[in-house]
Amino acid sequence: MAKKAHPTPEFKRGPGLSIKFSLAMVFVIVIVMCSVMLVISTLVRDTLLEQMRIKGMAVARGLANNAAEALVTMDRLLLAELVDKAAKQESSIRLAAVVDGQGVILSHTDYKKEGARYRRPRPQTQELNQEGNVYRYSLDNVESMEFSVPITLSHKTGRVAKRLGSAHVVYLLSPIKEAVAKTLEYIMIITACGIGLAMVMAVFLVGRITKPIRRLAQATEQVGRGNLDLRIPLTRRDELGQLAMDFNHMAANLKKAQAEMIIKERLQHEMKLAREIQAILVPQNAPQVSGYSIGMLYRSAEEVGGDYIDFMDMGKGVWGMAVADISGKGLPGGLVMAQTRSTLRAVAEKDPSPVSVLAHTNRKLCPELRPNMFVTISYMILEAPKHRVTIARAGHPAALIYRLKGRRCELSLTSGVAIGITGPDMFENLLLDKTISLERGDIMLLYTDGVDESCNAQRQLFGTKRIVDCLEACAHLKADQIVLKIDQAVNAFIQEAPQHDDMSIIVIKREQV
Amino acid sequence: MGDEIIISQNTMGNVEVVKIKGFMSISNYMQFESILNQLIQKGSIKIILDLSELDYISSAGLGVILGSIKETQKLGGDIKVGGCSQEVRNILDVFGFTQVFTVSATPAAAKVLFGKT
Repeated sequence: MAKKAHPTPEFKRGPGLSIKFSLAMVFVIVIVMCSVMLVISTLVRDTLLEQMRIKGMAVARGLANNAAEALVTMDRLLLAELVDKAAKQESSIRLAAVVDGQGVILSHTDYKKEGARYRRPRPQTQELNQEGNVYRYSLDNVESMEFSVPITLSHKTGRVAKRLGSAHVVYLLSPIKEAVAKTLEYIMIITACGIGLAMVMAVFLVGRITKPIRRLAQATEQVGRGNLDLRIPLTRRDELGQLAMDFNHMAANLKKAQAEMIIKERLQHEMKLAREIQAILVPQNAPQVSGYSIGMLYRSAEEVGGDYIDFMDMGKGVWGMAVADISGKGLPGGLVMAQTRSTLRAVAEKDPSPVSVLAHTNRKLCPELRPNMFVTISYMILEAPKHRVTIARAGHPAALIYRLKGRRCELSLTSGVAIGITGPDMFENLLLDKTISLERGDIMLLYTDGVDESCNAQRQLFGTKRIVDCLEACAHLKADQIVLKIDQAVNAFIQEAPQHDDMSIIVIKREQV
Repeated sequence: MGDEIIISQNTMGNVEVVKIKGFMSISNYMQFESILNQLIQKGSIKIILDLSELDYISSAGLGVILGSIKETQKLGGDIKVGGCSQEVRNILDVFGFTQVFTVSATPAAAKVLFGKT
């Protein structure tokens, strides 16, 4: 079933990067342009107001100067002409007027007001100077600015000024507001253009940036589906190029790791098969021998063990029994174990004497062993009807014999070296058969060094002494129970420490009844 | 389990003396093996092993000694044991090692054996 890769259920696609990037740019532009507008409108308004103040003052002063003489002569015609002339100097001048010393309008651009008292609305701001006053107010709902300059005679005579009246010029403020509005309008048009350009740029730039990211995402998906050979061509020298290179390394490492894992799994599988094969070579249960109870333990430290135990039925209550330890565990140990077993079995069938079985096994096995490998082995013949055991030992831990009479253990120490240490002559010279008779309740125990050399976390060895103690303490039990007790004692001793070596035990007990 | 062995080397005439201290288990015998291999590759084929301060040797470690003895003998040299703790001696006895190879009390005593050959 070809599965199309969908985003995982918890992933919900939100706004794309171009939208986010555009919005960010628009936000920045709007903020910047608003600030610019605020500053520029203030500047423009202040500049125009200042210009108006200078001009207005000049017009009012001109009117006052010119009107002084006409005021003395009370030449109303001239006054009207001067007022009219002043009002026409600027398009934004709303009105002009000349007022006498008592505040009565002598001349006004609106002639109907002549003869009336000059009144101004309540000013919002006013600046009072010696030269003249400036007022700002709303006249008939129209924002206005008035310049008022006193008319004095001093202008002509140079004597102490005598106030004759005042000249008034009123400007409209609306042209300034219009100019500011116009400026803001231009700025807003520029801003809009900027935003449009920014969005186009954002889409273009984000497109450029996300193209390699999209390619990476596709590649990641491919790798996720198992295509570990995929590599991204390195065309960029920036962060995305670095990312692509890291991606390629990752894919290569994944491929390597996968290959290693496959090998490891195959190896584990093969070790499992080897263990299954070895399980066939190791007896699962001790044999039933009349008048005796026999127990055994075989436990490998690794998947495949290097220990070997065997029971061979020779008929008429005669049994061949072997306990061996191959120096080396795992697969090499297991292979030599199988070799030892087949060699020994082939020999044991012809000549049951333990010395002769071991001598022949050594002759056949020794040349086939690697230089750093050796095999320690004890081989014995149990003749149940005669209640005796004949044993030979080749470098193997001595058998323990428990005597019910005296309730003590003795060691069956004979000479003999391990297979693989020396040539056949010396091997056979040192080898010795020892015959031991078993009385009722007597026990014989054979083991490999995995038992006495079991080591706890404090690097203490279990030791032969503890095996002896354990055997003496549970000598009243049946053989399989004795094996169990020794195993428990070893486990209690080593506690959490791992089992380093293979462990094998055979216990033969002549029952009392 | 952090078993440790400390291996020191010195020369006594034309013989290399390798002293091993500690607890030689399945987890650290490779260290011993590689040192012996290096010596043999270098051409030092007359070696004395001082085991007087070795507390334990596993069968894997014994295999290394055995293999190296065979290797050096093939090349015309030998490996002798000069000095052996009681614990290690018990182990060597069980394997029959002491019945085949001479175990001298000290490196100097082992050196004498080289002198004869």
